Amino acid sequence: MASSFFLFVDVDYPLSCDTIATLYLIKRACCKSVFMKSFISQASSIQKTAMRPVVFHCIALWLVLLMNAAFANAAEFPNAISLQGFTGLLNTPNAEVTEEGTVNALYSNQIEPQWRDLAPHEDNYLFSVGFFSFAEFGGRLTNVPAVSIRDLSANVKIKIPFIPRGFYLPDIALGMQDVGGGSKHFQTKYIVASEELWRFRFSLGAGTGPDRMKGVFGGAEFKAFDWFYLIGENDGKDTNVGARLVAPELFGYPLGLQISAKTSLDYRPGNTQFGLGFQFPLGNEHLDRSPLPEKANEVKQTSSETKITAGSLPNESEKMAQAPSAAPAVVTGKGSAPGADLQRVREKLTTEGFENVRVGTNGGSLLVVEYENNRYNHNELDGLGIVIGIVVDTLPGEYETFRVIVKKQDIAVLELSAPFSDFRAFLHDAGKYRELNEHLRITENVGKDEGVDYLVGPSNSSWLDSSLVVYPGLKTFVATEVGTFDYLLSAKLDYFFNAWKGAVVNARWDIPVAWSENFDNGKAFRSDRAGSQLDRLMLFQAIKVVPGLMVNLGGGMIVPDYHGTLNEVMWTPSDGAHRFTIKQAYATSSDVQDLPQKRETYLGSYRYYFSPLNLSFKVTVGRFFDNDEGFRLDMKRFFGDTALSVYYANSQTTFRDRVQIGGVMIALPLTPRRDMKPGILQLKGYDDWSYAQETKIVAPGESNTVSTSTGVDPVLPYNLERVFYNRDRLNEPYIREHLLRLREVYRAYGQ
Amino acid sequence: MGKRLGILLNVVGIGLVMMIMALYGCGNNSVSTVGPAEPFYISGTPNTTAIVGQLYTFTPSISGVDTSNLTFSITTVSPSTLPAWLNFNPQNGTLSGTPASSDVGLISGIVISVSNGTVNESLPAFNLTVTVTGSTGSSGGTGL
Repeated sequence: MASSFFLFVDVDYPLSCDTIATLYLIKRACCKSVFMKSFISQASSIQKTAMRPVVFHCIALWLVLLMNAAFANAAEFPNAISLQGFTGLLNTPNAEVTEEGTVNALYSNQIEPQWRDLAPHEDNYLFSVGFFSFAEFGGRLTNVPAVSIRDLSANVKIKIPFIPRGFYLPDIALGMQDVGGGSKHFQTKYIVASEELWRFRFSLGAGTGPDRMKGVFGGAEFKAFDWFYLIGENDGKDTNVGARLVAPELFGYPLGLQISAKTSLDYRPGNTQFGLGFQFPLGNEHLDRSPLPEKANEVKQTSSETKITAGSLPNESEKMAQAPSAAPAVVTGKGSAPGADLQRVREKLTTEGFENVRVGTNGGSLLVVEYENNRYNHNELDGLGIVIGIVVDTLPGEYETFRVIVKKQDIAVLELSAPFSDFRAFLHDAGKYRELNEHLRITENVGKDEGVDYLVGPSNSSWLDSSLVVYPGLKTFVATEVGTFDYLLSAKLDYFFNAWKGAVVNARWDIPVAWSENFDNGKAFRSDRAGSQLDRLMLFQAIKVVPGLMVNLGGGMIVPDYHGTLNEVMWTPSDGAHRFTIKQAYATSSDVQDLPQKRETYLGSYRYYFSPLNLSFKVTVGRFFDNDEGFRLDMKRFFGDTALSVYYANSQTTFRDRVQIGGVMIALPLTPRRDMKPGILQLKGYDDWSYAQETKIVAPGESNTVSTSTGVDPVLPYNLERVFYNRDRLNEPYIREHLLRLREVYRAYGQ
Repeated sequence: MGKRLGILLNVVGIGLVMMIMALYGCGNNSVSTVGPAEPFYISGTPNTTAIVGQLYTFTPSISGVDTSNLTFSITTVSPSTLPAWLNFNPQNGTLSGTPASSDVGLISGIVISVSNGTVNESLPAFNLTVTVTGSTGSSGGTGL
């Protein structure tokens, strides 16, 4: 098969004797067929001499693969990125979108029709991401040196939801290629329908052009093997044929590989272009919305095994409820004194690296455990799961209620309580998920002690502890007049010192490490490369005023040369679905060369969290950090611990220019799931490293000049949302949706 | 009587007009070099962005009674002199040039003035940013 495949993409590729003989016979048989003769005749009218070997070999290959198709899996077609960036065939879309929470990236050397007579070479870097199950966003960077084209464009495609699968009920999608931007090299709007029939997927659509996809287009994908597909299409300009090789996993990791090859039958047939890409998921948990119980006698599992699919929860749950639970690993005897048990719990928690630990009881019915987690930094739920696991596995089940209080910077931020037996049952039997969820009480209104006596002794205080967070800084310029991709990579050393309750001293150094040529002296971006410097020195004081209302006051050097204050007030009423934030910053520069000399920021924002999709919407209005005034819209979705955002800013600069910005941002933890234990100096990565790529949105014909100072919300690493609210995930709806994570992390790290 | 008065007023009026024209250099008389100059104005809104590799040009508009013999000048705050890529024509006040990648940056406090030797008129100061088109990215997201 490999030789056949390469035969297709390059007719001069050497073949084995058997393959040649087989194909020759098939070719002869094909030529006797009326249909094939007709097809070949039609093709020959386009490019008679050059076409013939290609067509013969294509047909032969199709027949060979048809014979092999019987051995292929009848599973659905995998969705792959096309050479244009949207999910589709070769140059045309189908009615599918990139899988939810998955990123596709592809390099292609296909030369677009408008440049193929002028340019010998073209580079295309394409990506698409499945933001929802019905929507994908994508981008494309095109570089055609011969005609000085460097273009960045965006794609969007929406699959019409709620269309049931079945014969004569095709999927339908709407899309736009090359959305926005001053240059419109690929702009097209289209509608397309797809239907699967046996091992074929047919697509038919109509577009607005002006080049490809003008009028009707369509094509078919044929699944020869689970990993090999043949594709034919007419994109409105050319008829293309090609093949795609898909490997869903590499070495056991969910990293898919995709290789595409195509040739036009109308323009230099036989001249092949390639696409090489990969696919990876952003996170594992976006499908955990309706968790199923796990098998009672399961063995220790990894995080990748916790993805639970929706479907048969009631029946499975009932079965699990009747099944014997795994033996609880109670390590203490029932006859031991309660104080000794509690001491053992405290010792285990502090040994595990938890800080500000307090363990107490009101005499028997209520158990209270307070702790601060600075070790499991991907998600606060990880720390919570470990604590619950340790407590439940250490203590006998003599307590009616188990209350666990989560602290950050020694401030109690959240309280969870449920019957002790529910925690225990859930920990050892995922089938008890529903019972725990039903009885679990989650509140920011952390209760008073109510007569609880806490153990006296070492709590592993976080006072005077410090941490050094090391992470990369990256600044890029993409598709500019001076380069396709320019970068400046630096090392960020972010030091945090716990001064007292809620107070942190923060100092950050920025050390440039590597950069592209245009950051060199005398080059375009030299002014964007500062030397190694201390770029932040601030003191923060966080205060929990009342439950749901937090304040963070900051003062010092906010950015290089600018000294002042940066304060935020956050109000989270009810269960955390709604949030209101006010932010104020005032900073002046000590360098007369700096513009502006004074920065005054006043921002108000509202955020709504939609828990079933881990999705949040945020609108921010006011005066931003560069003194521009306007608004900003953010839509963020978590896929596991990775957050993907798209945003739009519209603000008026101090020069009275109205600027619109659109961008996409990814934020993820760049540190191990379990970090070094906190102490005098904890070394770790950044749990909320983010990277945003943005561009000006301009009218056709206008220039999208680079801009890095529009709609900037002064968010520093020590902010309320990240430090105290688990990157905006410490709310009741989120916790309830992700209860299984508590169990999974304990099984992975706690036992 | 009325007709005579009308003729008289016309004669006086025409005489006054001719006297004024003679004094201020209008009409067919030769240009006067004495006396106050005619008022003139400079206007225009320059583009405050120049893009690498693309021609930047701006010519101020001059209006007024006499726009001849005017001389244009330009000053900047930072840098103190015009960069090499940017040319200034003192005859018509045109500012033009094509910046290269090494010219990316800010020219601040640009003031274009015009003078007839007696009267000076200036445009409001403006900044010119030399930049590129494209997309930018940074870690730290959209924060600091």
